[in-house]
Formats: sequence, C-alpha cells, structure tokens
Amino acid sequence: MNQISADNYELWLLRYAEGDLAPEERRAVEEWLASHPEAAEELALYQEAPRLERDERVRYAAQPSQPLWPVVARWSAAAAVIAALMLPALRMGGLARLPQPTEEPALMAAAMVAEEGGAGYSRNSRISKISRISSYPSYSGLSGFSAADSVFSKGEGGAPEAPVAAPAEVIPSTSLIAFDDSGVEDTLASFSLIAFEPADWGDRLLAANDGARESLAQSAGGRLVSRLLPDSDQLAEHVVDPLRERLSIMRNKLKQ
Amino acid sequence: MTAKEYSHHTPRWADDALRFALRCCPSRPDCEDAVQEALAALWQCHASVSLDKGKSYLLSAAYRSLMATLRHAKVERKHADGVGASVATVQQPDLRFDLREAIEHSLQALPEVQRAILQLRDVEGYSYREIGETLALSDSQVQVYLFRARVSMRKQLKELGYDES
Repeated sequence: MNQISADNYELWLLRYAEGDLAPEERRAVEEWLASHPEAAEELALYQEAPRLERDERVRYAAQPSQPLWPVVARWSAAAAVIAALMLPALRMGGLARLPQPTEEPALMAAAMVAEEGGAGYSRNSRISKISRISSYPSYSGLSGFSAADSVFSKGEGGAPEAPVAAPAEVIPSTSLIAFDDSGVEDTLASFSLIAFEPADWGDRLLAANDGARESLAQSAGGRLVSRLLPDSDQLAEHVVDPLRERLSIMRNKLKQ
Repeated sequence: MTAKEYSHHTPRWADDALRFALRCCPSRPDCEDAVQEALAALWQCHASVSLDKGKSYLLSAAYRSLMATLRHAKVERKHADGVGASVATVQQPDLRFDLREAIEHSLQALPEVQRAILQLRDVEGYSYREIGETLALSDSQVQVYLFRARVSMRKQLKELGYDES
C-alpha cells in the first residue's frame, strides 16, 4: 500500500482499526494521526460505530399473512380458478382432509392461465411481472408460475416443459389448469393436473399419455389442492358458494 | 449446483437476500421482486454456478435488480417533479426511539452501496473480496466505503444524542 496521505488515509485507518497492519505500518499510522487530529476523530468514530444485527424476522416467501379468501376476492379470475381447483377434491371427498394453505403461487399461475383470454391484469402488476418467470420445476414456491409459462408456451407452439405433452389445439384460452412440479427428476409423478375446463380436456390428455392417469389422480386430490385451500369451514363460508357462482358465470360465458 | 441443491438452499438464501435488499431499499415489494428476479436468474444458470458461489450470486443479482428498480424510480420522480433526482435525507427521529431505531434512521442517511456493504460485512460476515464480487467493487473501494459508512453512521447517532453505542 502507498504511503499514508489525505487520498488514502481511510484505507489505512480501516486496516489499522482491524489489526491488519504490520508493526512498522501501525507506527507510521500513529505518527500520521498525531499530526492529523480530524482523522484521529474519524478513526474513533469508526471504532465506536455499532455493528448491524441480523433481523431474523425477515422471511422471503413466508406463509401468507392473511387468510386466502381476501386474496381471492382481489383477483376475480383467481376466484374462478379456485372453484375449478376444488372440483377434483370434492370428487375425491377431499375437503375434510385439506390442511391450512401454505402457498399462493400455483393459484396465481392458474389465474394467469385463466386470464389468457384477456380478462385483464395490468402489465405493470405484480402478476404480470411474475408471468415472465419460467423454469422453476424444483423450487416449490414458484412451481406454479413455471406451470403457467409451460402452458403458454404450448399454446404458442413452444417446446413444452412439462413431460405430459398436450396438443396446443386442445388447450382453450380459458382452460383452468395448474401443475405442481416439485422436482426436476420427478417427472410424471410430480405433474399434477388440478382442474380443467372443458371437462373432457383431462381425458384427452390422459388418452395421449399411457400411465399418467394414476399419478394425475393422486396429485389432483393431494398436494397442490391441499396447499391452496383453507380449512373446510373457511372454505364453505368464504369460498365455495361464491366461487361456484363465479364458475357458473364463466361457463355461461364460454357457451355464448 | 444441482437442481436439488438449488431447492435445498434457496429458501434460506432467499431470506438472506431479502434481508440484504431491505437494507438497501425500504420498499418490501420492490425487495421481494428483486429477490424473485434473482432466484429466476440463479435458476437459469444454476448448473454453471458452484454451490459455494450460489448465495453470493443470488445476493448480487438481487442487488443489481434492486438498483435498476431504484434508478428507474428516480428517473420517474425526476420527470414527475421536473427537478433533479432527490437527495437522500434522513428525518430527525423521535427522541423516544430506542437505539435500535436510531441506528435504522442513521442507516437510511447512507448511500445504498454503503448500506449494502454494512449488511454484507456485519450480518453476512463476508470478506472484502466477497463483498466486492457481490457489488462489483474493488477491495479498496469496499474498505473505503465501509470506513465512511461507519463514520457517517456514528456521527449521525451522535447528532441524535446517542453518545454511547
């Protein structure tokens, strides 16, 4: 390091304070400080400054801080999607065993798919930002978004990421689908068809993919649905009936 | 880094990245967006990033994303106000605040890069070289900024009436 001067004294003082200097360098700094009291004051300030502490309260992608249903209320398309998401669980008698929700992403992914027809979210909204994200097959917090992008890419003729290929023409713009892909290597077993509209879309998908039926059925009634929905009381009070109505409206629109 | 390693480590790293981002910018949504984009960037190239570099890659990407957002916001404010970019100011805290809150106030008076360095040094325990890699600075720059940050922060605390740290 160059000789201590007004241009580089901060470096010298930091290394002095941290004990990184050789004895002769320390003496040189002390001699220089004797004739530069303002720098000596800075050194004292440096040494007195508090050190920052880790704030353990900060968590990324934490549990939702509020019940799911107000979130649903903000996104009407998402509301319709949840109604569709419920169908497989209802068919399998799954409501009673649904635990508390822990994640929103797949719900939002499904909302994006549902809105492909243009129901509209602002290009500057957080949903829109998230939609740029792709390829998260192994990060559970973002798996839903990956799924949404996969669906879009299929619709646009791109290479599908998901292992179960569906012809683009059978995916209507209002298909309500979401996937739970919790592992890269875990292909079909981790690929969950949660709900679909029109109703025969799933059958056509399965017909083209021998062996997928069992894993799809297991997944559809299990992981993703159980992660998204609140307990059965909340579900009944705040979600089920209002969303059935919304789904009905959506179906009517589709018929028109 | 394998996909499994990515899945295993990123939840914890994301917490660290968010903590780091929040030191640089008080807007939690902006910070979460930055971390999310960093996770995306890391996933895209996880196969070519070694495990021991994964966290610093994530923090670095989050920092770049956040700085881009802040620069964009400054430009927008400049156009909206018709004046030059605003200079960071710190409000006088209520003297009933405790030392911890006073430290937070004094931190807010520092430039973003100095806050980032303090966080990486004190909380993450990074070496100067690692901080330099994360923030694209030389070792000497990191040390000078760190020195100035601590001096400024202590001065600010003194001005606020906190003589003992």
